[in-house]
Amino acid sequence: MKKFILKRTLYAIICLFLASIFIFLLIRLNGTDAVMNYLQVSGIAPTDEAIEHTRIMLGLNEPIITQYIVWIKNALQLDFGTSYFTNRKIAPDLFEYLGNTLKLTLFALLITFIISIPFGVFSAIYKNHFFDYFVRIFSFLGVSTPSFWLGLLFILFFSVELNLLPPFGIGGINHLIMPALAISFMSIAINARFIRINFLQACNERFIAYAKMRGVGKYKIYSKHILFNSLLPLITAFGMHIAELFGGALVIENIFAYPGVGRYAVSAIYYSDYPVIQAFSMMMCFVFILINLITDILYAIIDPRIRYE
Amino acid sequence: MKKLFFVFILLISFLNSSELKVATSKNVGELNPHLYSPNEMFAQNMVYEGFVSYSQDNQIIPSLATSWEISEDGLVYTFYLRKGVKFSNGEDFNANAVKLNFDAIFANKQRHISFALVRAFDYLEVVNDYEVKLHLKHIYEPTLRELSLIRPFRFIAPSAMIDNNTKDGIKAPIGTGKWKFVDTKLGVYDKFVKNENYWGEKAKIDSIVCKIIPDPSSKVIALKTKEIDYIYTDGEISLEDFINLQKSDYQTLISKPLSTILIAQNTAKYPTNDINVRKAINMAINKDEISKYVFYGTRPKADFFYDDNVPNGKIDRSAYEYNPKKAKQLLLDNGWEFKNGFLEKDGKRLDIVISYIGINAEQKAISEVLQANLKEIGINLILQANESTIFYKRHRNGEFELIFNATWGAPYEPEIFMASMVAPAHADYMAQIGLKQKPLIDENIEKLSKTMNKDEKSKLAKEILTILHDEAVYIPIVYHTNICVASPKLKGVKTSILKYEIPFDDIEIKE
Repeated sequence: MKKFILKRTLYAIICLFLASIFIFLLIRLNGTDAVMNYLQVSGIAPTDEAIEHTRIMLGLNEPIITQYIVWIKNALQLDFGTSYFTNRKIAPDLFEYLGNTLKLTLFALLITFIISIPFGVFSAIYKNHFFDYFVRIFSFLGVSTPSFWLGLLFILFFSVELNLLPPFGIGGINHLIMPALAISFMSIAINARFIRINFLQACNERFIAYAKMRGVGKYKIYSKHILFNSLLPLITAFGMHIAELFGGALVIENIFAYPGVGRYAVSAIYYSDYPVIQAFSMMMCFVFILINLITDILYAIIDPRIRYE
Repeated sequence: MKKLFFVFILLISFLNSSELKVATSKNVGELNPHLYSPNEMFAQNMVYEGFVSYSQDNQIIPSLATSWEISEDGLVYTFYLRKGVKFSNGEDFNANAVKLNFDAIFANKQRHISFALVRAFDYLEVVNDYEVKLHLKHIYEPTLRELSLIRPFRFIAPSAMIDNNTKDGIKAPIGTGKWKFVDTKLGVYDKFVKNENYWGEKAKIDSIVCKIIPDPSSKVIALKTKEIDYIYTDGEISLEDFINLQKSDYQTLISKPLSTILIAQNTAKYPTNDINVRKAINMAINKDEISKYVFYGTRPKADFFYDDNVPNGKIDRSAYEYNPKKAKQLLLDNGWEFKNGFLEKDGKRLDIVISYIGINAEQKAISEVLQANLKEIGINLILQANESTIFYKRHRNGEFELIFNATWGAPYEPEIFMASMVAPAHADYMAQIGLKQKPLIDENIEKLSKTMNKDEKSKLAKEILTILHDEAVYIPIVYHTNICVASPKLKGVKTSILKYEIPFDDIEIKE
């Protein structure tokens, strides 16, 4: 098991390293010019002198390899440099924003599981009945509704019309309900269908038939045998949903004026703020690679066949 | 008992305090008066003051200098400082503070080099505690106007500088202005309170909270849910939302024209090097339609380079009237022929490329109208969307046929803006370079900033503008305006002629 974890961790590190090269090159070779953007935003005429001065100031006059080495060396110590535009250290800002986004993502994940598990289970139990049809329509709507549009609808209904929830900003749990619901809508839909299928498959397993023959009660079969087995694949779904919800949070943050990492990244992209884009992209890679690593390890713990592959 | 009384007073003052909630798109920055982005100009203007200000009727008025004298040779400006002024931390404002601020600004001279005053500046002499002399290397007439700009010539308390410098940051944003910057939360809000020690008329409200709501639609919703009371400046909300709000109880204001949105035609590049092509384009564009449909009537059409309100901006010429027939005829009379619906000359079709910033919806919409208008007279306009830095590289390198451009607005007009026309880094220089009168234009611009004679100045500016108009170098599209939406509970809401100033000072909250 130790060997398995070590091997997977090593893969993850290699992946991160390759991603860092890819991100660094992609930003610098995409044709944009941070110097021009900086001068434009600052209202400085882009004279040869100003361009040269700014290029030196931003450290963009060095060869690209030197720039990469300096960056990666500092990044390993969690020093992502200073933003070209806010002139603030990136790491504290990034982690503050990231904390907010993670709070929103985890809350959305909680909502996803709280709603999707009963939806999936009961639509399987009451297959082809009213509740099942309701969940099917709900799932269809869920996968087809863009989160930002749903977010705006929520604001109009719950904040403008009913004055029930705060439309913007950050604060208590009240501020999380609408954005979290908006981004989890799709995950709830997918997860409900996923659980339904798993549940129905588990119903057809032999051990269920044997349990029935043994005279085990219906409630016990559902709760102990089927439910547990049908929820196992959710570990995979967990990784998938985290990524989905995290991505959704980045989009929805602007609508709800939620100070998350997505807003930070969008403005950095707009201003060609290279150090922030790099830090954000690396952080995203790290989060996704870490989630995959955790999922792999969890699977290995649960299913011994995987660790001996 | 004393404690109880104190709590009671606090409670009363809390209940009476008035707070204005404003929507903004980002934090205002650390508010360093001598630096640029990400310091938001409207906020720098709230906290800091300079020697002079620019009034709503285009005049230089006293601020921290009560009066000034200009030597006969135009090289020495003597400023008499206002006595009894204190920075918001209680520190005295005096000649020493001015000197330290100028030293800090010029310790970072390279950063401000695009300002002609920085290039003309020689040294600052402290005569006594309340008198300073600004010495120039050569005459620079717009000196007072550059000193009225929001940055970099404004004053921070010396104790707020780091080792007498501001280039690497400041300890705290301490100015003499009407407002004090007291609190900020990253990505959430910035808060200002009234400076109770302000030397002049104090602000009417007690505090301003700038809530950060980046999305334009969300700003409108925030207004409706009373999360905010006030939205100012162009681009904060869509014009469509602005028009809808006009039909409601909200106060909606449109400022006077602030600057001009124009399209520069490259006189050095085929086919816009042909004056007839440039004139025909000017006559073929239906600006009324652009003003009405693209800007919902919030921006008036522009017939000239400058709006009439710009000092020395009015010229003795008539506008290029919208007349597609005449435009087409002008081209036909000058050797162009129709083939397959488009004009051709020497076997070459009249294709023209217009460059715009891809994510700028206004530029895109204007370009589309232009494309339709020019098709009517046989010109094939090709729309070229650019990433913004690539767009500005085109400005700088002259790699364009038609490109979007804009004037800068008060107090830059006309001399400070025109000075940029002689610098190769600007689209204006590149657009004009094909004109045989370019040396004359540049010469006039040089003279313009060096003459103290008002009549001569007016003559020079008009001469430049007349050449540019006669040569049809630019296509003025609309005059840029700012918009403002305020809750019905606000009093004293107004707009400013200065693009980056938000006029908070007279705002009151009705009981």
